[in-house]
Amino acid sequence: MAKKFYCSQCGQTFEAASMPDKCPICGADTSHLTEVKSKGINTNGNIYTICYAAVMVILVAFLLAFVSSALKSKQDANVAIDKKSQILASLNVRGLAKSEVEGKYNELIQETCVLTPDGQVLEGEDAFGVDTKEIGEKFPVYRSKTADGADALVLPLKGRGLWGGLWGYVAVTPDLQKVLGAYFDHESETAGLGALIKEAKFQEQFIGRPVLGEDGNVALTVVKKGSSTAETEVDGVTGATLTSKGVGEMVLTGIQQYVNALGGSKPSGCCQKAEGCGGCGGKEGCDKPCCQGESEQAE
Amino acid sequence: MSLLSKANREALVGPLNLNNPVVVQVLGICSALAVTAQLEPAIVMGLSVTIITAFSNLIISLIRNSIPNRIRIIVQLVVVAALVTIVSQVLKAFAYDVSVQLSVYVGLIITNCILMGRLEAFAMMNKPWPSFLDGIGNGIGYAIILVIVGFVRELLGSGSLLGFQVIPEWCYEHGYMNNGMMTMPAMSLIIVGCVIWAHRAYNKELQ
Repeated sequence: MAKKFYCSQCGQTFEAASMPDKCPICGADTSHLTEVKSKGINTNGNIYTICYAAVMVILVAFLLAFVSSALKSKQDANVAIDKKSQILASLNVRGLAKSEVEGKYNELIQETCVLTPDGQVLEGEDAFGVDTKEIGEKFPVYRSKTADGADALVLPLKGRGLWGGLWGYVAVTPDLQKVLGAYFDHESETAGLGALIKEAKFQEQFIGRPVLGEDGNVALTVVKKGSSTAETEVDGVTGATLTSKGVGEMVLTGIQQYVNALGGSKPSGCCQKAEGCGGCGGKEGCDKPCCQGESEQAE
Repeated sequence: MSLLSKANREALVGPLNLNNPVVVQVLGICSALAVTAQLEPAIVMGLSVTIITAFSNLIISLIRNSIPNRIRIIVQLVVVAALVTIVSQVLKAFAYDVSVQLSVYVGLIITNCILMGRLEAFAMMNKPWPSFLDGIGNGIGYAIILVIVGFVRELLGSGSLLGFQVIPEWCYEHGYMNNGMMTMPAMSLIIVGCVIWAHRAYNKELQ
C-alpha cells in the first residue's frame, strides 16, 4: 500500500511505497520528509494549524495570567522593600538585611507629603506611591532622620543617563542648604563604568556638600573628575562622562524644582508650606503642633 | 527501557563534556558574556537555563506528534517564552536581588540558541524522558562553563567569591590590585577561549 509523505522543504506531499532516500519533487534529504498518517488528523492542514495556534495561545495566556496574579503580592512587597532600602541608603543607612529594612524605614521616616510644582500639597496622595515617572509633576518629600539622627528631607529625583533612565534620592537639611546623603540608581548604564554611580563610593562624595551657589540657586552638580572648582561640584566617574553628566543634570534641575516648590529663595522645610505635613500652610499664628515645633527649632 | 539506559545516559552526560553546548557547539555565548562578572548571577542563570531547557524539552517532546510542521518553531518559541516568563516571575517574587542583577538576561533566555537547538534537534524526534535528560544535561553543561567563567572573573576582578572577600587585605597592602578588565564583558570571551583551549587540549578527538 502506498504511504503518503510530506516534504518540509518544498511543502508538497507525495506517495511512495516506503520512505524514499530523497524527495522526488525537490530532492531534499530524508530529514525533511515525514510520513503523513492516513488515519487521524492531518497535522499539516491549514485549519488544523490555525486551530492549534489559537488553542495554544489561549492556554498559555491563561497560564501566565494565573502565575502573574498568584505572585503579584509577593513581587510588590519586594519592590517596596527595594525602594525603601534605596531611600534608607540616601540617609546613609546601607547594607541592611531585607528583614530589617521595614523597621528601620518606619523608625527614620517621620512624615511624607506630595507637593505640586508651586508648593501646594496634594491631599490624599501617598508619597511612597508616587512612581519615579511622575516626578516633575508631583514632588514627594520624606521628612526623616539620617543614620546619625540629624533632621533631613529626602527628595526623590529622576533623570536621563547614557542608555536609559536614572533615578535617585538626595537627603538634604530641612533648610535645603546642605546635602546629608545621596543614592543613585540606573536602568541600564554600562557595567563597570556608568553603573558605578550605584556604588556607595560615588554617592558618599555628596555628603556635606552645599546645595546652593552664591546666587541662591541650586549649584550642586557633577563635573569631570579633577575639574572641580567649587564645593558644589562633585567628581564624576572616569570613563562615564555622559552618565556623570546625567546625574549632574538630574541633581541640578531636580533639586531646583524642589527648592521652588518648597519655598523659593527662602526654603523653610516641608512643614511650613506643606499642609499635609503641618496643616497650616505656612500662615502666621498657626497652632498646629508640627508647625510650632518647627518654628521653635528655627528660633 | 530502563530509566537510565545507555542512550539515556549519553543524552544526560554527553553535553557535560564531549558535546558541551558552549565550548564544543559554541552556543549561548551571548549570555555567558553578560552575566558572569560575578559568581552568583552565573549560578542562577545556569540553573534557570537548566530548568527551562529540561521542561521545554519535555513539553515539546510530549506534544511533538501534534505540532503542525509549518509552525513548529513558533510553537517551540511560545513554550519557551511561557516558561521563561514563569521563571522570571518566580525569581522576582523569591529572589528579587538576583532578578534585578540578571535584569534583561532572564528574558533573553528565550533567544538562547541552546534552547532552540535542543528543541529542534532532540525533543522533536525523541520520547519525553530522554528529552528531559537531554535538557538537564545541556543546561548543566552550560551552567558549568558559566560557573568557571564567573569564578575566574569574580576572583580576579573583585577579589571575592559569591560576594565574600577571599583575597586578604594584606595582599592589597603589598601592592596587589584587582584586575578591572575582568569586570568587562570582553574578558569573559577570552576566558571562554581559554576554557575551550584547555578542553580541546585534553580531548584530542575534538581537534
